[in-house]
Amino acid sequence: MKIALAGNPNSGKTTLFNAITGKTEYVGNWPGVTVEKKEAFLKTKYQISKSKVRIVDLPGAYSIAPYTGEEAITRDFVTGEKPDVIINIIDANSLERSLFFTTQLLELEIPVVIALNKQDVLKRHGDVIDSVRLGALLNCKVVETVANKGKGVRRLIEDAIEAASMKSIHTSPDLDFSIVSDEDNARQKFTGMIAQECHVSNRDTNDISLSDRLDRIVAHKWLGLPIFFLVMWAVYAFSIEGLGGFLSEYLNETVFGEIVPNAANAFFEGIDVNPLLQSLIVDGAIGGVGAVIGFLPLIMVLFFCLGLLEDSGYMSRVAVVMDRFFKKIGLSGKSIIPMIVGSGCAIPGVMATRTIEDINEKRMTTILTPFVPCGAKIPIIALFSAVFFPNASWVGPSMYLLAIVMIALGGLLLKKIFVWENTSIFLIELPEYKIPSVRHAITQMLKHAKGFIIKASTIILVMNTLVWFMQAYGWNLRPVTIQDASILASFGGIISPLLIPLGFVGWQLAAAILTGFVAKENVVATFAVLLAVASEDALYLPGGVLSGIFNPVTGYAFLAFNLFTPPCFAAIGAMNSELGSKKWLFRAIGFQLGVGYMVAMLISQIGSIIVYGETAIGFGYSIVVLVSIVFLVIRLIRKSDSNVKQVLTEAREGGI
Amino acid sequence: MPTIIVGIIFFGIIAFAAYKSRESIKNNSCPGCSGSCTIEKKQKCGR
Repeated sequence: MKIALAGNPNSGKTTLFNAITGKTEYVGNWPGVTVEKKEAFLKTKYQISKSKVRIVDLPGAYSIAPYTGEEAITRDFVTGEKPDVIINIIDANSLERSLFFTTQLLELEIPVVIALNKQDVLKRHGDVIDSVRLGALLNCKVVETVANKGKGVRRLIEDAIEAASMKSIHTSPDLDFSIVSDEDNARQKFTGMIAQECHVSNRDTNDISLSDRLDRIVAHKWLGLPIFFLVMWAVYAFSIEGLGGFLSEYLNETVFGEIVPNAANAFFEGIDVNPLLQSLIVDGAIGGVGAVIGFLPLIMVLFFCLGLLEDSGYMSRVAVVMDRFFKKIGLSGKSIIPMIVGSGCAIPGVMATRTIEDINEKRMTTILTPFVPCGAKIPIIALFSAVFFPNASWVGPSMYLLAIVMIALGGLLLKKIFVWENTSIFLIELPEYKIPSVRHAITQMLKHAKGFIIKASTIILVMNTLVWFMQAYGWNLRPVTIQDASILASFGGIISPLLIPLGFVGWQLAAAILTGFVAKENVVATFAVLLAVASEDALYLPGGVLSGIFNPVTGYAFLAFNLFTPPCFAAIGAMNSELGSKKWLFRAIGFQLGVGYMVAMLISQIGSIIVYGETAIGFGYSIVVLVSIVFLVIRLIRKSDSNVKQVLTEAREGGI
Repeated sequence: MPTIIVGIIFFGIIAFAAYKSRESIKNNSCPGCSGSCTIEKKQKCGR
């Protein structure tokens, strides 16, 4: 049996899906979180018979006639794959609007059971919906639910399975075309009539809700942005410099700095394992993976805080605040949602761009979303903060701020090069503020932690083993006495000259950057492997071994380089899917490389002059590169301008 | 002998990790990615 969950965005479909399947799919308190259908089997405790029940969570839709890509997924599924029953999740607080989609579902000749969700919020407002009357008017079963607390869920599932077994088909809603001939208007009139008959509102319309009062400050056109920065500052400072940093320091210093390697060395020496294999396992695998896993507490604290923020309803206000600014650069508040999702992982962030209908805006958002510091970049930020800026709380938040500035500048530049006008209108339904659920935050935190551990024990483990081998062996496949003669040094040596204008000297940096393209955490792991072999000093200590190849300015420039250059392979794959053409993918990668390179170069060279009163290494080369890039950008802009002029002239001549 | 046993176990783990990584990257998803992986993709990843 197949049960589909369908309803308007942010009605609680994925919350219900997680509750009845035991999954932990991403839930956000804003519309447009789910962009793909997700499937899982019904939990055993809800099963009535032995036959397995498949639950399909569909992206939110306002109508069966799709307006966005993810609405089309919902339409295609309910009309094409014909589930046995549809559970239509309705936000009880938006009854009239939700019923528009409900009436369309009722016409599909598929059994429908309505989940009248968010009853707790409805009751808090003193409102009542007569669910029995609603069911009678729509000729289907209606169950009152509070999905995030599991209330009414069992009855809902039982009713859905019963409806599917009986194949109870509803009579289509009786739309009245006597006054309005248009179907949409007739449908709206019908839903309005039903809502009026079933919904008793005890709200004082003059009373301004707490949410509205809070929005006057939080979503204020001038205060909104500084408040957002303050909030992100607090989150990052607490995660990197506060509790997260404290716990990570212990894990790095004691657990992976002493206990684990000492125990492993003692064990391997005890059983007389070959020293090279011992070094590979302890310095390569354990050292590299340990350096990344050491930042696990920090990641957990960060995602716990972000989970609380998401669930409170604040993040949708950020989209509203940013819409005004994003409009000026050819984007809109719609672009903010993928960027917020991208702060967890760039892949779902890039995938979330499919909620954007305007193709240009979608492309720009896909290119710019990986600029947001994702979870994988956090260990790099934390490592460089600890080494070069100990006890400074501004480094993490400054990366976020820098990302927003570069998104704005990058958007402007892309708009100038690929000339287009933004016609997109941003409408978002703001959920009410609520006290965030600690359970939700813990679920999100554990989900990210699990992902982080899996990543460290797969792709990062493999890369570290490879890095250790390549730094220990030469091309003749014999161990080398100095790293400079290794395979890795020769690879790094090929691209290291390109990094000189950035003030980055050394093949080790180039090697770390190369491995970072596979997964960003590899940057930290590669330094751990390379520098642990070369030095006894701990990697993460202030003034430690990293200080030999960076100073604070070039260290900060290196952070910016890793922030803006193309994301990991998997995220590039997601970009390829969403951009839909190789031409745009190469443009995106070229743009990200260019931005990362330029920003790092400017920080390094200008920063060195300001901070040290002298230029960084490679200043002369940087001038040449700067002039070349500026020349290239001007040329691209002129070319696009002349294309526009040509189109306009042709249009005039053609009398258009 | 201990070197051979430890080597087999270690490289076995690496081979398994490499296989998992390859499968995940093929499906546009990092291993352990918290992203919106569909059930079809998850089945391909073996997750």
